[in-house]
Amino acid sequence: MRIVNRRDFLKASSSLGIAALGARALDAFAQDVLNVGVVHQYPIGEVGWETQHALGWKAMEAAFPGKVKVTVVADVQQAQDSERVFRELASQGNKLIFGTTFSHMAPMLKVARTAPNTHFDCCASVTTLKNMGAFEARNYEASYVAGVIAGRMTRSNTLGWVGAFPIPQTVWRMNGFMLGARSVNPKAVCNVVWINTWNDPAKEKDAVNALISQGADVLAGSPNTPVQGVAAEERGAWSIANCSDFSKFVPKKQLTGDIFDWRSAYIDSARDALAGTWKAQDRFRGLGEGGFCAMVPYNAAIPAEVVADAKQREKDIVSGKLKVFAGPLKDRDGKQRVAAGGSLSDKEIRSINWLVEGINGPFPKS
Amino acid sequence: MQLRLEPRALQSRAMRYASPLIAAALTLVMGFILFAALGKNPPAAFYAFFIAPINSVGGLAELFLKASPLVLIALGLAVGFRSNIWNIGAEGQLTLGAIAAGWVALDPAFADSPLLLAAMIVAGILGGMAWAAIPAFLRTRFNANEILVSLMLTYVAQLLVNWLVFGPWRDPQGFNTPQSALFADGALFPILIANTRLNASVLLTLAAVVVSWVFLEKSFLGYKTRVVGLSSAAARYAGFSEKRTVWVGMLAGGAAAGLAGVGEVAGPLGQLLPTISPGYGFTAIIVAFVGRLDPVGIVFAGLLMSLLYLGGDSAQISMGLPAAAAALFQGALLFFLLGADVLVNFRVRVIRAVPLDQPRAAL
Repeated sequence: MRIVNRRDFLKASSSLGIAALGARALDAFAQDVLNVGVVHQYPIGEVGWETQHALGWKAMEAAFPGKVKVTVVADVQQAQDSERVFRELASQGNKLIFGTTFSHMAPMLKVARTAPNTHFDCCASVTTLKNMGAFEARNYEASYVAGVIAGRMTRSNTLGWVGAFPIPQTVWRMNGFMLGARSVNPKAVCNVVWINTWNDPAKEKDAVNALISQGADVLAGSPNTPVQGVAAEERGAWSIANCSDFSKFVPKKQLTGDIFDWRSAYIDSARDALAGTWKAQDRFRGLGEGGFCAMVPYNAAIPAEVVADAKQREKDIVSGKLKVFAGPLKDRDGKQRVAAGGSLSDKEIRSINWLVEGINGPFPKS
Repeated sequence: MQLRLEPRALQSRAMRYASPLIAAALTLVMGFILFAALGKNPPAAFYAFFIAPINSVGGLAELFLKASPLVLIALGLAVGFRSNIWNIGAEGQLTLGAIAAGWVALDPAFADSPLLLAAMIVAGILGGMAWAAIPAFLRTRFNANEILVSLMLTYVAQLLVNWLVFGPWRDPQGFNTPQSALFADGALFPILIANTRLNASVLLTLAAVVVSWVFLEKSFLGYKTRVVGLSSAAARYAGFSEKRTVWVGMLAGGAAAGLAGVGEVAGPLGQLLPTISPGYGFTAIIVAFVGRLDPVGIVFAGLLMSLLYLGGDSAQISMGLPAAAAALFQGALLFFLLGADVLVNFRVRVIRAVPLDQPRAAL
């Protein structure tokens, strides 16, 4: 992460004053190196949301050896603190600063307005400024493909979904999953249990057990931990990984998974910043080369024709032939949301707050 | 050999002043070993922790901004803690204060009113007090344990604010994201120092320091609550009402926490979010005890705690220190501080053990 000579220098220096002066002097002549700051909301674990972002900035470091110096601040949980950390990173000479979650948006907007010469990029932000871009995954494309597999693999025609919070990102992913399942299995339904957390093993396990008791034999969900897969495997049910590949924890019954791949988000942004051509963009990318989401390798137990079907859908989505939210599309209350021949606009997708037909269970909304 | 802690008849005056120094020395030793083991230069790490965050005006402003809610809540809690009323739910009372203030701020009827901020402050204080009144009532009426009730109500408050920002108060322009609309400028505390986040809510905390010092040290009611804490039997004999002490202790904590909630939503946040407080209500309990339940001590403890937070981030940025190591160092300092305080009230006696199976003659 840090350049080696500075660390060695600090090790060797014995007095506080010299250390402080030395650090400043080194920063002053390291102009050809792009200093990049990354803020994580939680500690970086083995799998999960923070891990996928860490894979992103590590790939950026590897792509520009010696040219990019990354400073990471992890476990900055609240908006009050992240604003201070963003400002500190900007004032310490980081010219490109990444936020990794939606709750970084509001504090980053405030800091970006006061640091016009620094580039900012925020994952899941819904606003951009002249010097602040946004990046977000169309992971409903990946969850659609996962849904195709789930719809073909279910014997009970009942899928289960462990809900975290009803925000657009989880709603579009859930809808994509259901649409994928229904596209191959019109009888499929999906039951939802909301647990109001991103990470709570006990609640996730209870939810999985409840869903299996209701007949579900393929489990998916929003909390980005392996717990749901592990709990499903214990009961002999299939599962879909979310965020990261959980096959290490769910060796047998993980069908596939729709995961984030932020490598190009970090690499493209750093490349532009190094070239001096950085511009704030609102990047909303799905499957495919340079995309922000990907499929976990398919389980060997899936029949070959199902795998072939899934791979064909992946191709069609990438080529634009297949649109996930294509009309005619009704919500589960019967209201027409997309007319035949049309499809949802990005703006509609990003503020989606309705569920497609086939998803059963409560839906907390305004 | 055996070490035994013996209660002192009188607090040791020398130890009152020496114990923070002992704690500081132990922390430095422990930090030296920790940082050296991680391959970091310990003096540079200490610099990153304690000096770098506050060697600028902006840094000092952040120090006060972060310390303000901690000090405020700890002052309120100290009133209860002195009389053995254990309000553990300041986090929830803070959340209710924030909700009440947000309710006023988001109400179009109050928009453009010059009294908007004042109304939010009053609403926030009342909100915090109302949440604290529930455990106070259950304690005085049914003798329900206020520790459990106040703690559990924290989770209820959290669910309440979740429901509001995911539901009725969700920002209509916010892409259905769980947060309220941004508050108008009139609903925010004015900034005290340009280009910093330090806002006028700090002045309310300063006022609270004076008020709580007068209350705890100079007022008869404050004296009575202290007597109840030291000896409830003696207090009853003197005719001091225990019920009133419960009410005073709980409501003081609730009011302070509620006001701190206003300071967050009308300060650095500027809107209601699914989580309002980064654990201030719980951290303030540590601040109250590190400050020995004394208003001036609490101010120092709050500043120290705030510095540790800033230092943890600063050490990550300038040294590449892992977040967990920063947290470990913070925890060690608090552990040593509270641990060394034992020496104020106890003395350590070394006792040479006589093995039981040893024949007496051998002595």
